[in-house]
Amino acid sequence: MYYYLLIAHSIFRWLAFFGLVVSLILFGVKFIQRKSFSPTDDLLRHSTATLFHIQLIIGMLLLAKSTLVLQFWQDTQVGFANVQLTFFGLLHPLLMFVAIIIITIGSAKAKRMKEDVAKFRTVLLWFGIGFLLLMVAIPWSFSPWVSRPNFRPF
Amino acid sequence: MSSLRVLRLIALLEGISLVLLVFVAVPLKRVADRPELVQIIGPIHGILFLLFVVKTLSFAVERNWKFKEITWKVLLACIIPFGPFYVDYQILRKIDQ
Repeated sequence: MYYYLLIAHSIFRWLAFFGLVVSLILFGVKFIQRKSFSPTDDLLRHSTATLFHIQLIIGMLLLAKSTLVLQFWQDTQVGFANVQLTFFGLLHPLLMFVAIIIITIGSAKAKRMKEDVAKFRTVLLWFGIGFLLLMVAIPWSFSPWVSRPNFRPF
Repeated sequence: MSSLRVLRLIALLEGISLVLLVFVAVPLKRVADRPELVQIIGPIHGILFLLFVVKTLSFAVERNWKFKEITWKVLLACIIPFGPFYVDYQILRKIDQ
């Protein structure tokens, strides 16, 4: 079970990340060109947030089953001395939760905005902050903290 | 289903899972040394809790709730047993009407 969840979490990361990157690029271009915020844009905004909520649920299930997390919290002194345990026991869940809250707030704020320019600006700002947090907290293969495969074989 | 209805449904489920966890599963684990129920309800409650927090914040921002007036009560309620039922009855139900 744990292993399948891990694979799902790893693959789904790309889906959510892709959604966010596409949103940022598309909205960025449309914002500069002063285009209108179309229903498709709204769908993209909402889907991106939803993808992250699904990823959050998979992550939560993993958190409950992970031995790394358990190890970290059983003895936090040993935990903090180990970069990998600190990352998965504390940093990754915490930063990701904050990032998802930020993405959610950005999406909800944009929904309320009346003007199209304001919608684009709001989404770009909040999704942008979320993006930075994601870049830090995803265990990329090139991450300086913990390296995990970008694509897990299954 | 409107986003408020979704929020109310999650509040209800979160409330039920919290009550089950605190009053049934955890006593079973601590007193009777049977951790099975905690292992099942624990993660379910965790998911519902996170979803509830995310949906509440999302809805609060969307509807321009004042944090000091409404949002903090709703967020606090989800960590108190029976809290979600109270908040649903006192706040969310009235907004829904």
